[in-house]
Amino acid sequence: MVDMKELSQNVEKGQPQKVVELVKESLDVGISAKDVLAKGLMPGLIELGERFGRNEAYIPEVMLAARAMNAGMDLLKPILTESGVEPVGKCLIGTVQDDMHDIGKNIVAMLFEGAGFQVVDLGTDVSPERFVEAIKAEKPDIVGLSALLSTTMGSQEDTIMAMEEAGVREQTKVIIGGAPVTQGYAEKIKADGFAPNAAAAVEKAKELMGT
Amino acid sequence: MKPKERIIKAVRHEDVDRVPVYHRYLGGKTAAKLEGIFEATGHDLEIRLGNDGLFIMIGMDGEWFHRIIPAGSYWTSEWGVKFQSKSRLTASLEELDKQEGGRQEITRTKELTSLALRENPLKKREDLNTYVFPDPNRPERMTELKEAIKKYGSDYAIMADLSACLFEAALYYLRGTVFFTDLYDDKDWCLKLLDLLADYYIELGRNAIREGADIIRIGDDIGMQTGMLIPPELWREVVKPPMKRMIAAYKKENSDILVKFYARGNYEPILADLIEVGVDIAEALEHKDTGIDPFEINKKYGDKIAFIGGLDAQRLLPSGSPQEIRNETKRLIRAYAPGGGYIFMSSPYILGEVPVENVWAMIKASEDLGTYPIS
Repeated sequence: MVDMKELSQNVEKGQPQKVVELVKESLDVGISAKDVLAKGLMPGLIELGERFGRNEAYIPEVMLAARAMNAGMDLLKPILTESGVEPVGKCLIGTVQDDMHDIGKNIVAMLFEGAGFQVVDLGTDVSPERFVEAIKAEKPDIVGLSALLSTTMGSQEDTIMAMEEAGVREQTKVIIGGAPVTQGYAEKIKADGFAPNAAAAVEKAKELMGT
Repeated sequence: MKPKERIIKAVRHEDVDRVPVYHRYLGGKTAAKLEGIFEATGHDLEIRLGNDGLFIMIGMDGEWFHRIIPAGSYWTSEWGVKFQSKSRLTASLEELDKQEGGRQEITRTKELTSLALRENPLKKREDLNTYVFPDPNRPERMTELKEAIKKYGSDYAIMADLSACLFEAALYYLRGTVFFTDLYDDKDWCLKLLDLLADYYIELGRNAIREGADIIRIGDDIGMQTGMLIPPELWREVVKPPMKRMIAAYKKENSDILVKFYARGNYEPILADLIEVGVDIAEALEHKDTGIDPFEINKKYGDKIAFIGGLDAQRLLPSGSPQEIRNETKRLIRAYAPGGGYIFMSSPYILGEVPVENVWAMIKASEDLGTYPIS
């Protein structure tokens, strides 16, 4: 029997080869892809994310864990898609205009995926116009706007304003995140929610969708 | 006592008349207002405001820091780093010239914060094999420093600012965030890159020392408010050896040279290492979110190193009240200045949107409260 805890620990330690090995073994012994994801991969990344929040882990360690989780996800994704499980919802995510930082955004995207969302990642330095176009095309349930810098968090507001102008604001829920962002700022710029960390972003999204 | 002597003696914990002051005005509206009041600009303005020393940027940061780049356009630095000016201004430079304050004020207030890094030159690790480092001995690199030394060097301390030097240069400019995982995937490659950067900065720093610089500033961001960006033991393994080699080369060139280390945030885990490799002056650890106590820090390290700065330039100086600024100046001076070894400044510079009355409050407070003996 493959130990899901061992899988989590290898995600946490950033060991992609070991993760791939254990995911394969788990599937071979008949554990469902959904369980491998929920009980094996996700807890590892969430645990490390929480340690990072308590200043007990460093940025490169979080990046390595995300990479290890990704290696496992590559094996699980085709199976999950094939099994025809309906996604929990659709999430459109991106780092706002002028900001090139994507470590945090990528982790949030991965946790959304892990929680069963269909994720459309627009990348970094995404202009308000590109967000609006993508919202029209993708019709997401949740839009996630990431900003690392106090100098770029203004682009989160610009994006929400552009959504209002384009008449797409009411179609979706907007959550914002990033180092300088607070609940107060979220309220000020009329976002629907704020999350202080990646795991909380997923919870917040589910809460806003009423699921 | 000449300002330069005040700085050097303070760093060496020798008796001085008052706590020396070393502010750096970033430009923008604040500097524009002060320029109007004092009818002086640049270093002349800094001296009029009481500075005992001056910064001259000659490192990688200096390449783009004061560069005027038209909004929207791209510019590739000598290091092969591609930037885009992402100003929200849509006016052309010609149009800006016609506006109040002209091109200079607007570009300094707006475009400084919006120059976005677009491409790192080392896209793959293999790219280092063919990457050509700039020539540290190009005479133009010393032009500004030479002029400053000629004009101010006999009376004022001159700091040659080499930032960004090692880890920050690799992470931010040359490789991008993937350098974080490079440290785990291929440590030897990282050591090689930082060694090549150290080679460059050894040459550049030596040239600055030969020109007559008093202080060499090694800027290498490694801290966040909450702690270090990478584990301290990894820093010791990869960044400390090339930094040690740099500092040894500078001291060999001139045993009187003072070396200042700058990083933002809380880098206390490596402070003892910095002392060990020969740093003379360390940027005061930021303590607004970390609960670091400057009194404790000075008690622990203050006899082995001098501290500079500590006044919060991000929040307190632009948005605090004059009284709050005075109180914090008092606290810092009381923590770090007894027994010498402290230079006062707003770390790491004075931003472009600081109310002038707050600048006065800071200058006045250090004048009133920084005279020795300090209780």
